[in-house]
Amino acid sequence: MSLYKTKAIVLKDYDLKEQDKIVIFYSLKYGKIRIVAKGGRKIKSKFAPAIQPPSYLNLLVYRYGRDDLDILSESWIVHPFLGIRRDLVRFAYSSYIAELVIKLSAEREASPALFYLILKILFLMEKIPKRDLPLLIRSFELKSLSILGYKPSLENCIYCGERVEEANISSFGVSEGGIICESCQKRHKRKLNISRETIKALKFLLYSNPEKSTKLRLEEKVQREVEKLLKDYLLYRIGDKMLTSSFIDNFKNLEEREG
Amino acid sequence: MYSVKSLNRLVGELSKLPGIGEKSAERIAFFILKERKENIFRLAEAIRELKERVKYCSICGNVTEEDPCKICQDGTRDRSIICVVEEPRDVFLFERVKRFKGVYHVLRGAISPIKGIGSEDINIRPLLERVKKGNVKEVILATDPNAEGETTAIYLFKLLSSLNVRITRLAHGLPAGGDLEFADELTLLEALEGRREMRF
Repeated sequence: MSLYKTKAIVLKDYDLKEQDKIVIFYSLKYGKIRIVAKGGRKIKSKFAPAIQPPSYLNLLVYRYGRDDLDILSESWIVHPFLGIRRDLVRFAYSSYIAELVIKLSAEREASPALFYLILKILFLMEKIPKRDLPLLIRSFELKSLSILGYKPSLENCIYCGERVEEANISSFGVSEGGIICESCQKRHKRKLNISRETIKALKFLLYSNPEKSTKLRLEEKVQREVEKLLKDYLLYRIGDKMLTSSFIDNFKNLEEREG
Repeated sequence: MYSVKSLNRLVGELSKLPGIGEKSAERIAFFILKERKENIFRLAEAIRELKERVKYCSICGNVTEEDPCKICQDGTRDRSIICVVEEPRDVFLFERVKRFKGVYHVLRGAISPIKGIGSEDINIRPLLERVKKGNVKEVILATDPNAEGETTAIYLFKLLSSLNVRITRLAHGLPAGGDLEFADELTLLEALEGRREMRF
């Protein structure tokens, strides 16, 4: 048995037996980890206030062995993200981030870059105007894909490898993961037609910092195209539908109805 | 390997129960095998009766043998106050306190985007209909004080806020008993935000 300390973000929790919880964290030192919070369901549990998504915590954890689940020993809240938890739309967006990280990342594969990206996005999510949240999410999608090794090729044709000028791009291969030049496009049928503005927007979202990304003003058509392209690409990469995406629209509609 | 078909079947069924692994299931199965026949048949009959007789109340969604349930039928209860809880077992808890004289609404779950549980998956629509019918003065949101319970409470607040009804939430903060020094920052913050005048 050994003890370790790490910074971590709560992604998801679920019940284990009568009183315990299993919590999925994204940690700085070990990447995605599952930890048992003994008594985590009890109203007087010392862990219960901390293990609520998307809280940012410091953890002290018992590690028993390769085959056993780690056991939470102590937890300290660094930031509870109350501004997200007390707002339906922001909470739905943070759940989307958590689902994406759970589905895209492997267990116990540390990526400090991804850890700090999630943290940055959550801090921004708590304070920026709601109208800027969709672009913040698109920025997270592209950057997390890139960190985890699924970066879409936006400069060179995915088939011939030639550098393609923006003016000559008209399609994106979802299963191939990148742009297709005009001459290769004729030979391949599975593709998504995209505009030059969309490619420009994708590059900006991928290479600029997330704060700048939220300042980007896009035509509605371009924004929809970026969203669709990334949705299709993620669906292909994950092989599973995102459960949380419908909640974002649902909660947005409720708030709009409420005025 | 030696095996007995009916014993294996029972172990398989028991290990589907929450909190029971294969070892525990095996222990229970051997206990059942040893125990007197009439005791075990009584247990089997109790399970069968539960599944056949217990249903959900058409008004509040609580578990009941008769529809509407005894609480909804009770003329002495104040129907103008509805306490909204997540699970039927929460009703049993409130009833044990013996102070609440209103009626209940059981959601049978909580909204959780990450688990894919939406408003359509839980018993929300009948609550709206109950409140829209009028005569309801207060809705107490008594969902769990965790992320899912909070999300459900906020969602219900937004749905109900246009219906001219008082909406309250169970108090958050320090649990009864224990020392303040062991309270975490978040619980203390909730307790500070929810502080009220002292009255005796």
